[in-house]
Amino acid sequence: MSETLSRLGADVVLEAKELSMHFGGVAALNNVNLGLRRNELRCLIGPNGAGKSTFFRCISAQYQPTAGEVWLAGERCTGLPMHEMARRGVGLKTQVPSLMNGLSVAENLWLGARARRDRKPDEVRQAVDAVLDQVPSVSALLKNDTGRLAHGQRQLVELAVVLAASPWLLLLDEPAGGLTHDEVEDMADLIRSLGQAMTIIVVEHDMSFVRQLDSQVTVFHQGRVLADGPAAAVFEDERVRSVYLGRKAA
Amino acid sequence: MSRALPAATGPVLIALILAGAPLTGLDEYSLTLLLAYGLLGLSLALVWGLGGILCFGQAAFFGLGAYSYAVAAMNLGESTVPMLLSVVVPGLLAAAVGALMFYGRVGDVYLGVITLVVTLILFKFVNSTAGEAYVIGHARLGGFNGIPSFPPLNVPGRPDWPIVGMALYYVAAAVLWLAWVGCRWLGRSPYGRVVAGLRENELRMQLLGYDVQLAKTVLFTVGGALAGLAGALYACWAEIVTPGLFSLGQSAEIIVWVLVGGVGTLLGPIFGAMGLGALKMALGGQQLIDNSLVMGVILVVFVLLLPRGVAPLAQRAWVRLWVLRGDATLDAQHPHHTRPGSRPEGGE
Repeated sequence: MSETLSRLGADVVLEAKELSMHFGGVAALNNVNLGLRRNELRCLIGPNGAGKSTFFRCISAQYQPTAGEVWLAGERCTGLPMHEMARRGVGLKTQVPSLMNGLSVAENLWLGARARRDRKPDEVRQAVDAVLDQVPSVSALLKNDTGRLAHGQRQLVELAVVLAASPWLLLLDEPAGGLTHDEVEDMADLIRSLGQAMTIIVVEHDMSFVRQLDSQVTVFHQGRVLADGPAAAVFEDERVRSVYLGRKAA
Repeated sequence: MSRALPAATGPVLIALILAGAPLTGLDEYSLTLLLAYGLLGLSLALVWGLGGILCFGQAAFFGLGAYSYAVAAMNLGESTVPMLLSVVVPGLLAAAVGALMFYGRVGDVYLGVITLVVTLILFKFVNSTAGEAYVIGHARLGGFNGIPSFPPLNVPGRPDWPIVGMALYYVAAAVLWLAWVGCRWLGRSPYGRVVAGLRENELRMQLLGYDVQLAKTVLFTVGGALAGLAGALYACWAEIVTPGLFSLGQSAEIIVWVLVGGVGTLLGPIFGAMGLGALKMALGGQQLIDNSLVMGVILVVFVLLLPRGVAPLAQRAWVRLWVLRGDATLDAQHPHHTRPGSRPEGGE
């Protein structure tokens, strides 16, 4: 096990071990080791093409990694299909909101809640109500056709649909994209609140949003982990400034 | 105020239409054929309209159902078990083909190609079964000439009580009605909502934890079984089955029926099939215009001018005339009310 994973101790719930993903000759991920503890909130940042979204796709099994392993709660999950990863508690909010466009928001939420097969009809309704309490702005959209929503609304609805499935590991790919200033603040509050009860990884380009989350930050660069630590320390790291913020290292 | 009709209104209305059709003086012999076509249209409406699986091979299951009935009826001398086999055999083929396609993650275009090729293979195979070797029990497959003179539908357990003429019409009408009610229930069930979800966004459904491959295979199997049942009704009506049932023309026609009737609805494709079937019969009596040409023109006209088909249009008109009549304030009160016809899984 890598040093990064070792220092997390026994409480680690997500482990990416020497994860690599190659597309032909291009290494989108190159020997990435990353681990998260229970109820940890972590931000992934990095320039375009750094491998952040590819990392999410490997964790959610949209891609099967070229090499390396994914472990969830002590169970090796490499090679499982997408729906099995979701059933093990992985929820992914995609960069471009992915919803059932021909159905209403209410139907989308129902499908999210119903994805947990052990739920009875009453429990499905309760799960939807609970999500509407967490993301109240979605309540006003319930009867709308999802395909006709604005981008910011789709972001919120997709998050609500993913939450309705009650994941314990939440992967959020640019959740603040397309939101207004106030909505971004609400989203940061919501994510911090959700982080009390689930493990969350946020991929984000908006540095002010990352600062609001006030979490551990991991910087990806050219498919590798470049830096890792508290946000303030990472933003002061000269290597990070050099590759990500466009400043020359001293 | 909007006025909601009781839930049973649709099924009762359709039952009355089916029961009353022969009383209008229409020929029950032709009507029975139209009912078989209606059931075939319904089978594709389920697979394509509900699940978004465009199957070019529904004729394969239709033909296989007809042949299964004919072969079994010739061997058993009665119709009860053959009717069951006409559902089971196409259903099994649909399950096998569906599992191969869906678990093999075949794309939409190749799915169409594969289903078309399966139909062609069956067409070619059945066409080449004229030799003495192609005998199943007492039934000779007969190649191009098909299988004639097998026992008609009979009262279960009573081969000496055949169901023909008007009785066959009413049996076919009951089968179609039950199949429609069943599909309607399926579309509104939790499974139906899941299938509607995967039709809209397969990736999202997988990311939520749904076994999309299994759900699609089940739907494809049910569609194949229904098409097989339609084939058995056709066989009982025609009293002969030929390789033409597997033809490309037949496959294409089913798609035209569903398109004209309205993809995403269940009643639309039934009446699309029956209407275009009636048109085909009417044109059959003349030699001036080719049937296929007319079907082609209808397809082009609908794709260009009415791509959603007749049923959604009729649904919208119905909502305007009846449900929302005199209620100009409804939109103001509920600006986000659901658009009529936007629930294909529940569409009638």
